[in-house]
Amino acid sequence: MTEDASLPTTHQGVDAVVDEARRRQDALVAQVRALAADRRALDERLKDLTRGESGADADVAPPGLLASLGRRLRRRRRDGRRPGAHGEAALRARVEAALQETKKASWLADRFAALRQELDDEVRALHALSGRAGAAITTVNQALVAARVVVADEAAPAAARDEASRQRGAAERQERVLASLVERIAVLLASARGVIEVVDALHDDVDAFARAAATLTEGLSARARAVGVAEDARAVLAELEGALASLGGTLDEASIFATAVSERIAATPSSDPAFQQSLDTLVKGALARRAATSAVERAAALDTAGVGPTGARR
Amino acid sequence: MSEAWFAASLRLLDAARGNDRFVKVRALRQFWSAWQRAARLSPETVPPPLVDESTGMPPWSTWAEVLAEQRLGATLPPGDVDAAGLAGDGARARLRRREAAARLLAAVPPLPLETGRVEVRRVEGRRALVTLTLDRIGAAGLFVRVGADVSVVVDGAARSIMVDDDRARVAAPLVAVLERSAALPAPALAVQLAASGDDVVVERVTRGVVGPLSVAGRGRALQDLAGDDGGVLVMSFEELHAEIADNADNDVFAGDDLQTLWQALPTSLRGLKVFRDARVVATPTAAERIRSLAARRRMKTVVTVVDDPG
Repeated sequence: MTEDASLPTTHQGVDAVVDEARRRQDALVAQVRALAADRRALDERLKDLTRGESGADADVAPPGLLASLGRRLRRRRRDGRRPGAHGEAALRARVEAALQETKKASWLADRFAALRQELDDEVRALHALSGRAGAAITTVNQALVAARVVVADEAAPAAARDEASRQRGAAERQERVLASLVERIAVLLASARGVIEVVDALHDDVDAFARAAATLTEGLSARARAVGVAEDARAVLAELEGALASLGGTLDEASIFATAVSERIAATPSSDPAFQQSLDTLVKGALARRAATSAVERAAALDTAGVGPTGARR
Repeated sequence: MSEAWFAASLRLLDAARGNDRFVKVRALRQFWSAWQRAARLSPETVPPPLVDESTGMPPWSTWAEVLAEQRLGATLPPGDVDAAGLAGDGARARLRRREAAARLLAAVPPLPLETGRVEVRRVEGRRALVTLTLDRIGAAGLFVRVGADVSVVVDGAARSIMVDDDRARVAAPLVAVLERSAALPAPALAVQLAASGDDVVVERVTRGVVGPLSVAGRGRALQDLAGDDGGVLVMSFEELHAEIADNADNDVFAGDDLQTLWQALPTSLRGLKVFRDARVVATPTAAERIRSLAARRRMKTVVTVVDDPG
C-alpha cells in the first residue's frame, strides 16, 4: 500500500502546522504581555504626573497641578490638537483581533491533528479489511477445489448410479458455494465502499478547513499572517488526496480480485458439459448482478460526492 | 496554585455585593467559575490565572486570551460539554476537550474588555445632559466602571455632542478622555473631562473598581492584611457630585488625602464634593486587621467576613 510511504510525511506536515501555529500564538501572547507592561508603566507615569513632577514618592498632588493640567489640555484643544488622539484603544483592538485570529488558527491546527488521527484509524481499518478479504477468498477457493474433487469422484461410477440425481445434487452444492462466494464478496465490497465514503467525508472536511485557513490568513495582520499555515495546509491536503487515491486503488483491487475469482471459477475445466453450462450460467448471472449493483451505487456516490470517474474532484 | 487561587477568589466573589456603579459582580463570578472549569478541562488552551502581583488580579492580556477562547466557543456548533469520552491522550480527545472548554466559556456572558455607553438624559434649550459610562479591564486586571454626567452644548460652534432623536454621538475627545483616564481618581477624571471642551460642564463623576485582590499568597498590595492563607477583595468607589454635602472618605486603602486632592481641583469644579468608599470582603483575621485600620483612621469601611478556607 502506498500509505505506508505517504503517511509519515502527512504526519510531519500536520505536526509542522501545529508547531507553527503554537509558535505564532506564543509570540503574540508575549507581545500582548509586553504591551500590558508598557501600559502599566504609562499608567504609573500618569499617576506620578498628577501627583506632582517631584516623582513617584509624592503622595499628595500639589494645589493647582490639576488645574494646570486642565489649562494645558484646553490649550492643546484651542491649538487644534485633538486630546483624544491617542492609540491605546486602537492598539487594544488590534491585539484582541490578533489574539482572536491566533485562537482560530490554533483551533484549526488542532482540527487537522484530529483529522489526521481519524485518517490513520481508517487506513488501519482498511488494511484489516483487505486482510480479511484475502483470507475469505482463499477459503472460497479451497472450497471450490474440494467441491470439484467431490464432483469428479462422484462422476466416475456414474454409469451404475442415477447420474441425473448426482448431477443435480452436485450442481446444487456448487450453486450454494457460488452464492456464498458472491455474498461474501458483496459484503466485503460494501465495507470497502463504506470506508471510502468515510475517507471522502474526511477529504471534504480537509477541503473546508483549507478554505477556512485561506480566508483566515487573508484577514490577519502582517505579523500574524500565517502564510506558512496555509501552505502547509495545502501540502497536507495534497497528501490526503494521495492517501485517498490509494484507498480508491484498494477498492479497485478488491473488485479485480473478485472478478479474477469468478473468472477462475469459470475457467476451471469440468468433465461434465451440463454441469459446466449450469456453472457458467450461475457465474455470469452473479457477475451481471454484481456489476449492475456496483454501477448503480458508484454512479449515485459519484453524483452525491461530486467526484469524477478517476476519483479526482470535480 | 490555580485551583487554590480560583477556589479562594470565588469564595470572596460569592460574598461580594456590587451595585450599578460597579461592573456586574454576578457576571464576573459566573465567568470566573466557567474559567476555572474550562482551565481544568483543557489546560493546553485555556490559560491559567497568571496574577499581576500589584493587584492580585489576572492582567488584561490573560483576560483577553480567555475571552478570545470564549469567542471561539461561541462560533462552534452545539455539542456535549460534559459528555464521557473527553478523556484520552490523542489529538481527537484533545480537540474534544478544547471545544468543550470553549463551549463552557461561551455559556456565560462575556466580560467587558472595554465597553462604552452614551445616554442622553434630557435636553434643555441648547444644552443636553449626557451620561457616559465606560466599563473596562485595566492593564493590571482591575475591573473599572467610570460614569460621568456632563452637560454639553448641542447647537453651537463649539459643540461636543450631537443629539438626534434621543440618540447621541459623543465626539472623540469625550470618549477618549474616558478611555485614557479610567485609571485616574475621579477628581482627576473630572478635570480632564472639563478640559476636553469649553462647553463641557461636569455635573457628576463616579468610579467603581473591583480589585485589588489577595488570595492564596498572591497580590502584594494586600498581602500584609491577608497573610499567606487568608484573603481580601476590595471594591472601591468614588463619586464627585454637587449634591454631596461635604467631602467624606471611608476608603482605608486610598493612598492619598481626599481633602488635599479636592483642594487641587480648579475653581470651576470646587462646587462638587467627593465621597469615597470601599466595600471589603475578607477572611476573619484580615477583616479584623482592616477594621482596626479603619478605626484608627476614623473611617466607616464596610467589611464582609467569609470563613477561612477549610
